[in-house]
Amino acid sequence: MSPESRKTQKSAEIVAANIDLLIEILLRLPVKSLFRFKCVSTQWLNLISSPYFSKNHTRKNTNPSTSGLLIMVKYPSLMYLSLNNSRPSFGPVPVFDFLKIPSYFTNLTILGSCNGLLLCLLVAPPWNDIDVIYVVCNPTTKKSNTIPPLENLARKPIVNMDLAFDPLESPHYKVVCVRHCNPPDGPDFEIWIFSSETGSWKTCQGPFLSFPRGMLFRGGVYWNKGIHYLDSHDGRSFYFKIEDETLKSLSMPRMQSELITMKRSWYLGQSGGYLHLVDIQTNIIRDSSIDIYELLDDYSGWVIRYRVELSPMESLFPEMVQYIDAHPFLEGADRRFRIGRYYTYSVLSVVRKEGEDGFELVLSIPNKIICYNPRNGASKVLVYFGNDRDRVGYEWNSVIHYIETLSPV
Amino acid sequence: MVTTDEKGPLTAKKKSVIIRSCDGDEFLVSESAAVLSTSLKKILEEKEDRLIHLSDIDNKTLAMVIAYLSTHADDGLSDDLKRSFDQEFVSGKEFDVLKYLVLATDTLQVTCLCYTVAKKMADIMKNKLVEWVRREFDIQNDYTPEAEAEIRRLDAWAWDDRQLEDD
Repeated sequence: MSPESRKTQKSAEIVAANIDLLIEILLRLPVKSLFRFKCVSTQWLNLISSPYFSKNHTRKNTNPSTSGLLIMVKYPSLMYLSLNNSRPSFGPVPVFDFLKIPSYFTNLTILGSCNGLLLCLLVAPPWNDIDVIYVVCNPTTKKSNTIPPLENLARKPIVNMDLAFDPLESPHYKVVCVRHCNPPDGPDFEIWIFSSETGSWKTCQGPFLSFPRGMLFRGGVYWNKGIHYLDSHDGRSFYFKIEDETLKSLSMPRMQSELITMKRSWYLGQSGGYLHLVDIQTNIIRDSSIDIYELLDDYSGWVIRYRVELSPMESLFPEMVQYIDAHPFLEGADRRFRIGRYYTYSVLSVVRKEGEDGFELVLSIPNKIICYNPRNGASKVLVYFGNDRDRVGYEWNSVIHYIETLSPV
Repeated sequence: MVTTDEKGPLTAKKKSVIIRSCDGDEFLVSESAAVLSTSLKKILEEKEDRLIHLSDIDNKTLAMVIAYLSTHADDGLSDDLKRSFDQEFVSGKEFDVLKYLVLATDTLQVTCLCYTVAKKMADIMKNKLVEWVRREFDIQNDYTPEAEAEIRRLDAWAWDDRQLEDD
């Protein structure tokens, strides 16, 4: 062995033997590489699997990007859409294997996700002691934790539960539960918070009274230390600030024009530290656009980040356009007889990654799932279902961001 | 109270130190640069000697660390410039060189350089094969083939979608 290579070998040994240095290097690796490197040696396996390492890795990687989208389709399968730029892929993953949850549960619903952790509702068969349980799980490490049951559920039924987790703020997560209080179908609510730090529930100051009829605290998204609900009434919704246990009003953006809008829907989601609201207004008189808003940190308003005009996309994806014919018999006939047109699509997600160009709008259109970058106008087909699978459509409320994290549950 | 004038000759004398690598090369370094290393700072506080001998850092590695320390001690450079220097500093360096560097940052206790080098090493490692990692860190595989296969099976998702490199 030459002196040079002996020297090199020595440095390798010393680095590998210096646990502190080795940890500094491993902490900077993505989760996926770490999972592979468990195979290097049993020492590496123990290092990477230790709770100390998981906690530190989560704290270091406070802004992990979304690796893919989980789409809930037909139980018990999930579809996984990888957003890996070089090779997007799409396929089913069995949910119980994926989350490593005992298969004696007969149903599972993913209620929400937050920075890599999922909140799931599991239903057990009737002969089981427990009917339903709520679990928080980490699909990357396949670890899960059962949330202790709430008492008095018959008198105070659960309206909704949302997960609050941000490794930048704390290694612990919280579950925010909105419950009815007397009478169970009235306009009054109580809010309970479970903390993984204490392992217990506590009730918040309240109750929160006299909400508009039909308010069900749906579409909760955690951002800026609060849960933001997408349940708007008269142009306003609500958000719950976890620290001060207050429920505040949240104004929604105005409509472009009430006269011409045929249908309006929202998308609400968090990505890359921003709360995005996508305003989808369908109209047949003029060309539609997709407006992407961001909420300002101080809640002073929504700012429009991008307005995506749909007409330029038409040449690339003509299947998005639907025509309204003057008469049903004229279907497929000359365009002159058509009285209007609109676009068919649904917004699956807004995915924000590091860097200037890291902004992607994932759309489900007939036969395809595509992503579109509103900054540079680039678009890409992620999934092509083929012509035989007509009008495959997914909705955003069945889509969950999959973010790799080692965070313990 | 001691005035600056009285202190003058003393500070002038203190301004630079000589650092000797394990292979005998000597480097003249300004004290403001040397004290960015926690270990050098301690040595300088404890003894009068202006010559510091480092028995486990070779001349090539030491020259790199000193270039880093001098740049970071330069008050005339903005933080942005220092950041881009850091990027330049590690870019294109081979993994072997980085191993020496990271060890030197540990010996000299230069935390920020240690993080920069560790990040670069992680960037090189992330798409590599397990075999590559074992080779580079000179680690003996202590798994039985069955145990290793089991670990791979449990975390199958981590292995599927990437082109892994062995060089």
